[in-house]
Amino acid sequence: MKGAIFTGLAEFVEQEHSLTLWLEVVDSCTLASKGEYLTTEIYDDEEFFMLAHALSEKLATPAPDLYRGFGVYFFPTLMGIATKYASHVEDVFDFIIIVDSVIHTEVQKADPLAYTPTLLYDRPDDNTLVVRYLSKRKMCHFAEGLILGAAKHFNQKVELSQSQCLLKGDDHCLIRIQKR
Amino acid sequence: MSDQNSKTIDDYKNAVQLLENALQRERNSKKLLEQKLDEKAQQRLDENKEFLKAYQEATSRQIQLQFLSMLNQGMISDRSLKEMFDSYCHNLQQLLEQCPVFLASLTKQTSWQLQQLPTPSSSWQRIDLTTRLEDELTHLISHDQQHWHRQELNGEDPFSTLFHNSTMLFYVISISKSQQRIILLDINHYCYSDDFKNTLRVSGQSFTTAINKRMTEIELSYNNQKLKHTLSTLKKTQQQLAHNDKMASLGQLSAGIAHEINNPIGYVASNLGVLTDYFEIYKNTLNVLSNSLTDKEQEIDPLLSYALEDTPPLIEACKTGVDRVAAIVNSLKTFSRKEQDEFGEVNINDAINSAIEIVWNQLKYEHQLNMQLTPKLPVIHGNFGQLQQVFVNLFVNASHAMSEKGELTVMSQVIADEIEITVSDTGCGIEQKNIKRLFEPFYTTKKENEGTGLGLSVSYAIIEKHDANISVNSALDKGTTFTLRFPIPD
Repeated sequence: MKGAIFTGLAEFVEQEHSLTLWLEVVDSCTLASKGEYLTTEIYDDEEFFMLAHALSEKLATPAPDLYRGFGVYFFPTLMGIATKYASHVEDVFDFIIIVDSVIHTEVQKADPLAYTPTLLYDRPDDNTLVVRYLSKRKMCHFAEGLILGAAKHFNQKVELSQSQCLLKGDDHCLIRIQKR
Repeated sequence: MSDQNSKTIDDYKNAVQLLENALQRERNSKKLLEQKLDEKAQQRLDENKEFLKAYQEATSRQIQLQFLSMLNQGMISDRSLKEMFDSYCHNLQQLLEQCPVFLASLTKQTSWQLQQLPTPSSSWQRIDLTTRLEDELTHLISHDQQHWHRQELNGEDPFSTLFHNSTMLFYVISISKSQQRIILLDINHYCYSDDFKNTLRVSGQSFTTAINKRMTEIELSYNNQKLKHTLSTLKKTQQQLAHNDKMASLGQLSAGIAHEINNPIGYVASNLGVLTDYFEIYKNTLNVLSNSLTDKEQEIDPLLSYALEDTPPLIEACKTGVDRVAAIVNSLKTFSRKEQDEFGEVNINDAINSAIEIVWNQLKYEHQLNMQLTPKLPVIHGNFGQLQQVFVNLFVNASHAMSEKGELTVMSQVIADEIEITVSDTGCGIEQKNIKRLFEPFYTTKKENEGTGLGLSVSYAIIEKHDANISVNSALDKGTTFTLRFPIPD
C-alpha cells in the first residue's frame, strides 16, 4: 500500500484526535517499518490493518465507520493529486470515474507492477453511478468515505448503498451512488 | 507556586514550543523531500509510460483474445445452429458471472419461443409466453443488429417477472428472412471496462458472422443436394428417353413383324384345318379302297399305313406350333400398343390376388408366399386383365429364378401420391449387364423353349400405358425386387 495512505492516516488521527493517540497506536503495533512512513514508498498492507484495528479498539469505533471517516478526511489529499490529471472536474460522478486511473498512476510511480484495486463503473442513468470495487484489501468503506468526501467537496448530495460486498463473501462490492 | 517552579514550567513550555517548531520543520522538510522523490518517480514513470501502456494493452488484449478464441471454438463449422447458440450462450454466461441467459426465437415471422438457461450447469428450460412478453419481444427485435442493447427493467416491464436483476442486455441475430433470435442476459451490473465491453461487442459480431457463414453453408449444401438430385433425375430421364426411344423402335418393328406374320399364320392355320379335313377324306377313301384289294395288293406299300397313323399327330403338332406363333404375334401386338382395351377403376390388390391364383399351382409346392398387401388401397385407373398379366409374368419369372424353398414377397403400400408394389424373390438374381436389357422384346436368359423373351417387354408396355413405372434391383445369389409405382388419381 502506498505510503501516502499511512501518512494520511497519521494526519487524520492527529487532526481528529491527537498526536499522542497516533504515537500510542504506532507503539502498540509491531511494525516492520517502525511507523516511519514516506508518502512515496510502498508498505505492507498488513501494517495498515494493524494500525486501523488498534485505532478502532482505542476509539471504540466500528471499523467501517473509522474507514469511512478516514476516507472523507483523505479526499482533499486525493483531490490534490487528481487535479494534476483533471483540473476541469466539477461533478462528483466525473471525479469518481477518474479515480481509478489516478490511483493506478500514483501507485505505479512507486512500483510499476504493484497491486492496485480495480474500480469499474456503470452509469445506468444521469443520477446514478454504480461502482464495482475489486480489491484483495477489501477497503470498500474507505472507498465510500472518499465518495462522500467528493460529494461534500463538489457540494452535491448523494446516497450510497451496497448490494454486494467483499466483506460478506461476494466476488466484488457493488456501490450504488444516487444523486439527491 | 514558587518563582522557581514557574520558571521551570515556562522552560518546559518553551522547550515544547521549540520541539513543535522543530517537528514542523522536519515535517516540512520531509514533505519537500517526498515531493522531490515524487517528481523523480513521476519522471521515471513518464520514461516508462509507453512500455507500461503497451504492457497493460497487451494484458487486456490477451484476455480479449482468450475469450474470442474460446468463442471461436464453439463456432466450428460442423456444428448445428442449436449447438452454436448453446455454446455461445454458455460462454456468455461464464464471462458475465454466471448470469441467467434467455434465448427468444422467432420462426415464420409470427411464432415466438422463449428458453432460459438459469445456471451454467442447467439445461435449457422452456418458458410459457404471455401476450405482453410476445409484444415486448416483437419490440426488441426491431433494434439494430451488431450491437448489444441495454434496458433497465422497472416493475411494469413484462420481463421483470422473469428476471432476477434489473438490467437486461440483449442482442438481435437474424438467421434468415423468417427466423430471428434474441439473446437476453439477466445481469446485476454492467460495471465493466471499455475493453471488456468492446470484447463483448466483437464477440456478438463474430457470432453473427459465424451464424451467417453457417447459414450460407447450409444453403450451399441444400443447393448442392438439389443440383445432385436434378442431375440424377436428368440422367434417369435421359436413360428413360433413350429406353423409350429404343422400345418405340422395337414396338414399330414388332408391329411390322406381327403384321407380316399374321397373314401367313392365318392361312397356314386355316389350311391346316382344311388339310385335316382333306386327310380324313383321303383316309376314308383309302379304307374303302383297301377293302377291295387282295391281301397281296395290300402289301404293296407297308409305309402307307405308318404314314396314315403318323399324319394326324404331325398336323396336330403343326397346329400347336401355329397357335404358339399366333400367341406370340398377339403378344407383340400388345407390346406395340395396338390393343385398345378399356380402362376403369381397378383395385391393384385384386389384380395381384387373381394373378397369384393363376400361378398358385406353380408356386405352392416349391416356394413360400409372403403377402403384405395394405388393405383398402385407393383404386387406380387401369385395365384389370393387363395388370393381372403383368403380375403373372413377374410371379412366374420369380418362380423360375428360385430353386426349391424360395420365398416370394409381394407388398403393396401407399407412398405419397403413389401406390407402390414390390415383388421380391430370393432367387439367383440378375447380372448387371442383363438388367439393362430386361425389358427388350425377345431378350431372355431362360433356356430355349422356356421363354419367349416377351413377358417383361409386354409388362413394360402395359405399365407405361398405366402411367406407372417399373424398376428393378437385383443382387446375384440373393434375389431380385421389382418395384412398380402407380399414380393415385386425383
